[in-house]
Parts: sequence; C-alpha cells; structure tokens
Amino acid sequence: MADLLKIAIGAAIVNNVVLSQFLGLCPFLGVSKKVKTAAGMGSAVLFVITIASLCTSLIYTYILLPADLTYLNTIVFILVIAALVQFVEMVVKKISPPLYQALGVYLPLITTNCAVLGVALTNVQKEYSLLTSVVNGIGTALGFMLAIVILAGIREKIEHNNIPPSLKGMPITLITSGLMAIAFCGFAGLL
Amino acid sequence: MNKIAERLYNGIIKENPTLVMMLGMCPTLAVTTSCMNGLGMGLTTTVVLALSNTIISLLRKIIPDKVRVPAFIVIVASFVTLVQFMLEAYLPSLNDALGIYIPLIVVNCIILGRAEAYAYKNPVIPSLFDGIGMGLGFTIALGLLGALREIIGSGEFFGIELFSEPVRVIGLAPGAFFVVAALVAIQNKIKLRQGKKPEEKGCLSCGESGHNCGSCALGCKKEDE
Amino acid sequence: MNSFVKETIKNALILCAITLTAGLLLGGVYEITKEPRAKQQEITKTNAFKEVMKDAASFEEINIDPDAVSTLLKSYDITEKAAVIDGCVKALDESGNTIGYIVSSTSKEGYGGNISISVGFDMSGNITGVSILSISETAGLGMEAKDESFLNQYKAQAGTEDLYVVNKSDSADGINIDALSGATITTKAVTKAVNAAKITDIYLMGAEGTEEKNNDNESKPDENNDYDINADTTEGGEADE
Repeated sequence: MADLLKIAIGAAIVNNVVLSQFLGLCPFLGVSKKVKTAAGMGSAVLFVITIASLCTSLIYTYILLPADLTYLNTIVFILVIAALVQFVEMVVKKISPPLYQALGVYLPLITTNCAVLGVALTNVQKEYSLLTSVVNGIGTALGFMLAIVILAGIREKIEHNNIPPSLKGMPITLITSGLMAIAFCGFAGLL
Repeated sequence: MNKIAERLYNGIIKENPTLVMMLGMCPTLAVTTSCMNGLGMGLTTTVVLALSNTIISLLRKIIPDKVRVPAFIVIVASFVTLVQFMLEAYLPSLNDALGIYIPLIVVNCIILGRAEAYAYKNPVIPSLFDGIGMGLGFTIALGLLGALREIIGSGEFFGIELFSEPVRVIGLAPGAFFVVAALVAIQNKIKLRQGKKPEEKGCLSCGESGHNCGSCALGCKKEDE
Repeated sequence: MNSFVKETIKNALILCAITLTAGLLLGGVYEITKEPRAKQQEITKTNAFKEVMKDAASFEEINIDPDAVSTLLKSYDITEKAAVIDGCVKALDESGNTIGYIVSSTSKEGYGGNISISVGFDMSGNITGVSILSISETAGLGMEAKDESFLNQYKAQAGTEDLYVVNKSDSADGINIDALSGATITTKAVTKAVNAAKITDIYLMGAEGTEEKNNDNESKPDENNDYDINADTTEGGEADE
C-alpha cells in the first residue's frame, strides 16, 4: 500500500507529467485559458489514462508477453488508445449525456495526447504490475489535472495585467509554466 | 527540381515546424538538454517523417478516406518501431539518451500533420522532400535550442568548457520553458516592429481554433463531422 | 444500407491489410536486427564493467542467492528499502584467471530516486573503480557524484574490511568519505550502495574460498549446490592463489 501511494505521489507531483517530463504539452498550453475548460480537459484525461493504463497493461501481460511480441508495443498501444477513445466516446454518449456534455469536446483531442501513450510505455518499461500500472496512470493524470488547472487559474488573472506586447499570449504562458516547473522542482526530495 | 527546392525551403525556413508553426512542442522541450540530443532527435524524426510521407503518398489512392487516420497511425508507428530497432542495433547511446521520446515520435503533431496536410494529397517525390524539408527544419530548431541550453545551462559546448558559472536552471526542466518563451517573444517583437499582429499558431492555439496542429486538427475535424 | 456495409467491410479489409503488412515487415526487421542488437547490449554491459576493472578481459555472471545476501545486508543495517544488490560478475583476465568481482547495486535513498552503481573489487578486496549506471539527482549538486574526484575517494583503501562513512573524521567509524557540498543525501546514498557492494564482495570471496577447499577435497567442481553462492565454476579458471 505504501509503495502504491509512493508511486502515485511520485507520478502526480515529483515527476509531474507536464512540468518535468514534458508530455501532453499541446493541451496543457492550448486548453488552459479558463479554469472551467481546463478542469474539463483534466477530467477527460484522467478518465482516458486510467482506462488506457488498464487495457494496455492487460494486453501487454496476457497477449504480447506470452507471444513474445513485446517489440510491437508502440504500434499496438497507440491503436488500442485510439480505438479506446472512440469507444469511450460512444459509451459515454449513450450512458450519461451530462458527462458527455462535460467531457465530449475533449475526448477526440486526447487520442494523440502523448501523455496517454507515455504512461502506457512507462508502465511497461518499469515492469509495473496491473494494479501498479493503474495507480501510476491515475497519479500521472491527477498531476496533469493539477498542473493545467493551476496554469488556467494564473492565466485568468494575467488577462487583467499590463503585459509587454511582445510577451502577450504564448511567451508569458510559457514563462508561467517555467516558474511552476521551478516550484515543482521543490518536491524532488519528497520521496 | 524546382518543386524539390521549394519544398525544402518551405520546410526549413518558411513553415519551419518548430519556430514558425509551433508544432511538436513535447520533444522540443524535453530532449533539448544538449545540442547533440536535439540533433539526434531531429534526425530520427526526419527519417520517420520522410519514410512515412513517402509511403502514405504511395498509398494515397488505396487508403479509404474514412479510415485514413488509423492507417496513418499504423504506418507512422511501424516506421518509428523500425527506426528504434536500428538505433538499438547501431546507435545505442543515442537510444539511451532519448529514451521514451523515441516511441513517442508516433504522436508528434508534425508527422501526422504532414501526412494529413501534404502527403495524402500530393505525389511521391514532392512528399518525400516535404518530409525531408520539415524534418531538417525541426532538426535545425532542436539543435539550436539544444546548443543554447547546453551553453547557458552547463557552460559547455560539445564537452568544451566555455565558462565556469553556468545558469543551471536553463539546463533543467524549467529552463526549457524559458528558452522557448524567449524565442517566441523575439519573433513577436520582430512581427510587431514590422507592423504585423502576432498570432498564436499550432499546438499553442489548439483546442480553441484547432487549425494547423496536425493531430489536434484531426481531433477537431472529427468533432465537426 | 447495403452499400454502407460493403464500404465498411472494404475499409476494414484495407486497414487490416496495411496493419498486417506492417506487422510482417516489423517481424522481419526484428529478426534481422536481433543479432546486432544483442551484440550492442553485450558491448554496453562489458564496457560498463571494464570501466571499473580495466585489466579484465572477459566477464562471467555469478548467480547469487538473493535471500542470503539480503539477510547479510540486514545484519549491517542495510534494509531492502535502502539498498539492493542487482547482480555480480566475475572478472577474468586473458588466460581465464579470476582477477576480481564486480558487484552492481542500487541505493533507493537518493534525493531524486534510485542511484545504481557498479563497483569493481580485486582479489584482495580493494576497490578498483566505482561507476554510476543511473542517477537522477539535481544538476550541479547531487549530479556531481558522477565526478571522478568524488568516486576516487572509494578507491585505494587497501586491505581493510571497514565500511565507508560520510563526514566522520574519526577513523574508528570506518573509512571517511567527504560529502559533496550541498548533497549529503546523495553522498550517503552512493556510500550505502558501495557498502552493500563491499559486503557482498567479502561474502563472495569467502564463499569462493570454501568452495576451493571443497574442490580440493572432492575434486568435483560441478557439485557446489549446497552453497549460498552458486558460483558458475564449471569452466574451471578458479582463483589463481
């Protein structure tokens, strides 16, 4: 239990997926103008990463590993993730329209979010068990959510400030992310 | 011949994927801790980009429109795996340095973006050179960023010590954000001086406008259907 | 509707064909590059070992009993949560004589996570070299552990079974290692890994010693299964003492 908690905290805070591993930067920088949309994107990523870690881990342990086809993992994982996102979209649409309203817009954007494939590959690389893979996935996704919501909060405030014209928009967002990354560096000795 | 030169110029300068189009930010920030790593990542991506563009262009009449995205992904992922084998066999040190970012080339916006925007609609030879041009543009940008971070962040360049009190933070994760921020700010400054309005492009604007960013655009397009 | 079904089937078939071709192609390339890749991995491994033992010509893996080693480490207050032994090899010179052991260990108490090292020992238990296999400490502080002047501290402390201690000038506690400035945690973690390796080396040499006696008595090198350390000695080339 303690080990799982350690992995979750490590994935969420110490090795934050966006701020220290640079995965999933597109949505992090693109969909962080408002806290509300950022939270929506964050929950969608949490949803998909959790299911994707479970599925890819199952496929790896029970199909690829016994068949000695582990070298196909990149191609298999990306296809599984793409199919999964489509499937999740259909299921959510059918079962829970309110949830679809909230997450639907973000789901298609996630297929090529490299954080999802990144988590699946890390799980395999570190030889995590099924449970550990899912915990690592949830931790990573929570870290993503935390980072994107904080950034959106800061960006909402920055809107009202007087920023030099050449720094407006992306440069100031990147600088903000850099400062956040410095803050997250402070967690390095936590584990 | 003209077409080839035009494609190369387009990829390296006019529509440079990193510096102008702002695509593929993940590897750009992650592996540019040194010039060598940046160049290695750039060249690896160039190989994948050139090969996948060629094959997609060859198969463009066979691949049905409805399943083109999964087909692109399969083709790109195969080439990435292939290149990974080659690196493991002949350049293990580069493979170790780039680690997980090699398989992640699959989800690089630039590759799916070029497949969708160019290779799927154009003949083989221009597509090949479009891939090479874009790849070289990416390589140059990553090499430049890597060199900047290596010099400022560790006071060295290819192992030669330049000064003794480097600004360490530039070499660490936060520094990647700062260096890219500075490059974008300089571009904006130049644009402002020329009287143009700086616009947000590529990945950095996806989710809102969705155009230009290859993979994001694929997502946005699906949304429209 | 019928044309829709037809189209769907056609699309699916084309996609399958592409995937199948890709899979077959990859399988082929995988087989072709299998040999050079295995060779590269071997070279990388050997180079890492050579770094800590320059005189060695080849290396031979030794199987150790993990339970025995972890019990032994525990008796020195090194728990499994602090440091573990990843593996041991025997270093051989050109004529096949054993000239020392290389122990790889991982400390789990680094500031930024695990630190893995390889330590080379000659036949009298002196450290011939320490090299860091993987480390993710802070640049400019803990990362300086890769520096040779730091690692050389562990070398050339001849003929003693004492362990290393950090920043203790009293030699009764053990051999002193000066901590890296601003990185005491890193220094302690590396030192723990070196100590774990040293304990294992002493244990290995002890086991080899008894084995040698055993061989002298019964002259059956194959039957050494009773030992905790099941050293792979069937090829001969025992310690040249």
